[in-house]
Amino acid sequence: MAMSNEKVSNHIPNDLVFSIMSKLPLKSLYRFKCVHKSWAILFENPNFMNIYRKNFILKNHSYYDDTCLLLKHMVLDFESHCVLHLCSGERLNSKVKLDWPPPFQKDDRDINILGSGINGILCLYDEGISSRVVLWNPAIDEFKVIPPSPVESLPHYVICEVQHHGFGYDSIGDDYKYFIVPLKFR
Amino acid sequence: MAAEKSSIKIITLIAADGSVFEVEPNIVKEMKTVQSYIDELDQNTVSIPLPNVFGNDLAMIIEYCKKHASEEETKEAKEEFDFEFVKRMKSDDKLRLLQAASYLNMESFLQFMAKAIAAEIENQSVEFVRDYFQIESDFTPEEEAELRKENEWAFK
Repeated sequence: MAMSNEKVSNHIPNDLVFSIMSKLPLKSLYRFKCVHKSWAILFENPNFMNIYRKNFILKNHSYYDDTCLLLKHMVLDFESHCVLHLCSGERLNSKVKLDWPPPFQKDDRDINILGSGINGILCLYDEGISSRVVLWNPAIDEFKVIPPSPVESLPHYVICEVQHHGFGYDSIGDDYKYFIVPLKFR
Repeated sequence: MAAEKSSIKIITLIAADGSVFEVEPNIVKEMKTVQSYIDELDQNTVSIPLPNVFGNDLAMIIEYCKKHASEEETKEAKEEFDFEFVKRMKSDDKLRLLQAASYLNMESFLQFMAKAIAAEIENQSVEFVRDYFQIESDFTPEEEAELRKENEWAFK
């Protein structure tokens, strides 16, 4: 049946919206959650998120657009604190202090940045008896605590020290990889 | 199965408004809907009605296909063409062409149009996007306020 002439509805079926949304920057994607309920639940659709991530990785990124620098430094008053600043702008001259994610807010004595993956995710850890490892996306302020590795819960008479070695994104397995090396002392 | 697919010389496409386009077989390869129709026929000439695509849009799609099917054109020339192609379109044109691409089952043209639309709406306001797609919000004002608050960073 022929369509009536002149006026074509702008109403776009969902699968086409899907294709458009998968090409948006993350910020717009989050903003457009408010457009319609069906747009908000796209984030829960693993199929969509997969396509989104793939597009994101394939895209030519200009590393000098929106570049920002994270500066971590120690402040000493009564005890030491780690402070994180985000420097952005054309000459990296606009400086904002970032709050650590909740797991580190009470104790910020020795926080380290192990590395960063795609999608703005940082891997943080602190040294100490109960070393914690946290994945954190400062842009959207969401975090996830990585459960301790089995080697970290060995009986206490086995002295074992864990070295945090690396963090990155594995595009084949579509997952983040966090790598530690346990060192055992006799 | 068609015995001699290569025997088809000219394909006639008839748009919704009755306008007629004669194209060579290599031009419609990307249009999977048309191609599968041709594959089932065993004729020298075929004429295919496309009741969901208007003549103006079909002309643009054919123009795009011709450029991209050409082996003489350089990659740069094709990119330059793509840029100009999108530049002369209004929002409505893009949306119509996206739907035509979907109907004709043209994967790479569909991705191309989706990208052009994404480029137009990125960093725009929620209201702009609703207007663009003629979508009515199904959130209550409270729900929307809550969602905006939760995703405050995305509105800066």
